[in-house]
Amino acid sequence: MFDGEIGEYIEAFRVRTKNGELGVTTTYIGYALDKKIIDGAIVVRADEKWKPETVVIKKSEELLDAVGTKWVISPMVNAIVDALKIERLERIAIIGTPCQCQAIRDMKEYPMQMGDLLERVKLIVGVFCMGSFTRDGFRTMIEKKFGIQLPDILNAEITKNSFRVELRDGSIKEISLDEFEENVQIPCLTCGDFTAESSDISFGNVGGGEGWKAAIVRKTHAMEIFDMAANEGYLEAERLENLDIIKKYAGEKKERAEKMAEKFRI
Amino acid sequence: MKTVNVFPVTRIESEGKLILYLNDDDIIEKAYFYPSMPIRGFEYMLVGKDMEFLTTAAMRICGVCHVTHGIAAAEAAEDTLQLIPPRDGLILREMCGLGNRLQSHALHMLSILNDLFKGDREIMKNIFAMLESANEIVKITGHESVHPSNICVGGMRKNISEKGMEEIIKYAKEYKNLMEDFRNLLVESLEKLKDEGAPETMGNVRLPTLATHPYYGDSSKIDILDISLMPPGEYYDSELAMEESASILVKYKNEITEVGPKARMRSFFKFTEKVPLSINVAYADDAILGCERIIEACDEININGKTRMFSAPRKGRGMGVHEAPRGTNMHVLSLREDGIISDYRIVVPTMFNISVIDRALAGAPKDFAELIVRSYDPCLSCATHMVQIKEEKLSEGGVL
Repeated sequence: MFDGEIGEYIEAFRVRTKNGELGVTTTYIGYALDKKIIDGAIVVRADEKWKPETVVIKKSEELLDAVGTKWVISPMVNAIVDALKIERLERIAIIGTPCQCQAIRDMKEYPMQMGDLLERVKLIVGVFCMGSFTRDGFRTMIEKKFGIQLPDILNAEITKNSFRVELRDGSIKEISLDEFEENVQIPCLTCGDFTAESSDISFGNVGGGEGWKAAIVRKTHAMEIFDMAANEGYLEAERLENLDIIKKYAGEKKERAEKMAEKFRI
Repeated sequence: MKTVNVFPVTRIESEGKLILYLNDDDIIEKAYFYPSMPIRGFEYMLVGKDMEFLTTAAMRICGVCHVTHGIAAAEAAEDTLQLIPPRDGLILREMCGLGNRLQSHALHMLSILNDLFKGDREIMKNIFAMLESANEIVKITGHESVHPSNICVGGMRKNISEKGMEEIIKYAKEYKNLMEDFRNLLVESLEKLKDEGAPETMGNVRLPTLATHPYYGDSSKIDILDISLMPPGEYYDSELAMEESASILVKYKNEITEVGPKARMRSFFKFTEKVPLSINVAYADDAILGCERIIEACDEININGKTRMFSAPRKGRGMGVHEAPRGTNMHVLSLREDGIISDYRIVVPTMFNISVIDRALAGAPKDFAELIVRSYDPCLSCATHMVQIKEEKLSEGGVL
């Protein structure tokens, strides 16, 4: 079915992992790797200074480093050359922000001068996204607002009303979402895609409820993998009927994009 | 003497014309083969451009011998910058160039398929299978099967993986088997040409040869001052050819010189085929040796090694030489201190071989004319050059 805010989809779920080490998105990819549905994936990992690094992985063990939201802009599409042309993988998955998913989708549908190369991208996994930061922008925000250095951060995520940072010493710090959004890099403000509408399946922190993630499944093959992963106990999933919160965020992002477009319109 | 015009010559790369001067027995006494394809002006397009654009642009001179121009351009820039690419980058580049040789020689066989095998479908399928294998080799080493972007000034952008290397070996072996089988059929059918009236030595010129390296290229084996150019006016007796020809012809040490597979075979290996148009067998051997070298290079390359060296631009002049599928290919580059190209000259193998083709045609029955041209496999897109029309321009700045 098609929805104005979240695009074309088959079904929505709330989902969480049984295993504590991997997140939901990385568990999904790990399942596909373990069962040899895919023979590789392009993922991004960040070091303790939050510098992103794109890697091509072939085993689910390598996903441990890639867990968690990155916040900082992490180029992913450039690794297509490494995955497909150098490693010569045949069935890969990619994890990307909505814009990255859109880039891959466009390359698949309009493969000018690339022949059938992008047919080897079999699974496009998206993440919900309200905007990304430059590395400097993120560091400035964290240092100014919280008075801490980037390496002090253990985990950072968006909750219902705030941007919540968990430090290595165990303490928690929060700022409002409005303040958080002030620091998002400007090109992101022109994007109206919150739920990665070009993906085969997308995951996000919003809309699943406390302790759960949300998953929007858009393509049949992604649905099949999801079902199998749930049935075999990798993921715990329940149908998600109430998509109000997700749609609210999605609608806000579209409004924000429209306003930005007005500003730039001559 | 009667004149016969073959306008255009078919089943060759790009567009060319043939003027045949025949005696009463329809034997060719003299012939002029020349490119009629319009000028594309890469030498002029590159002036004023940044060095970063060099390999990308140069490769697009041709769609058949594309890699060699990328390599010769990169070599010219590296010579100018006094930059030596890492060993693994050079080995990978050599493999990419050989992959292109395999592509081009497969297409060569396709162009003579009708003449020698009456379009036999089984043979045609095998030739296409060879082309597929060659395409994969260029794809793995260079990232694309045509105009591979992995070639750059300083080496190659990225190395190959273990899986990539296994596939390269597989495809090289496949190509080699197919080409060895084809070579036997080729020799047979060239023998049979004698039954159709071809003299035993038809097309087998005995001219000086030039080859700098069996697989890659060696600029130390050639002195640029030994190269002299013949504008069309100096060479053609025919007004039509003089007016229309879009190529400058080249002599080496003041002699018309053959470059290409037969030259390489004579310089570095043994070549004793005694069939008409033995050049075709030289093409097959050149390809088979290329396969063997690719497999050998896979043993030599370290897939974890660095493949690219960087350098700041500097003012200077340099020459890059690479053995293209059709022969010795030279690019001469002049660079400004800010990395902008100030001059660019290209001497392609077909510029040597056009006059060789004319010699090869002499003494042959007219019905074999096009086959002889196809056997020498001219690449006219590459050979087409700017022609200086005014005398004054010719001396200003010199041609080389």
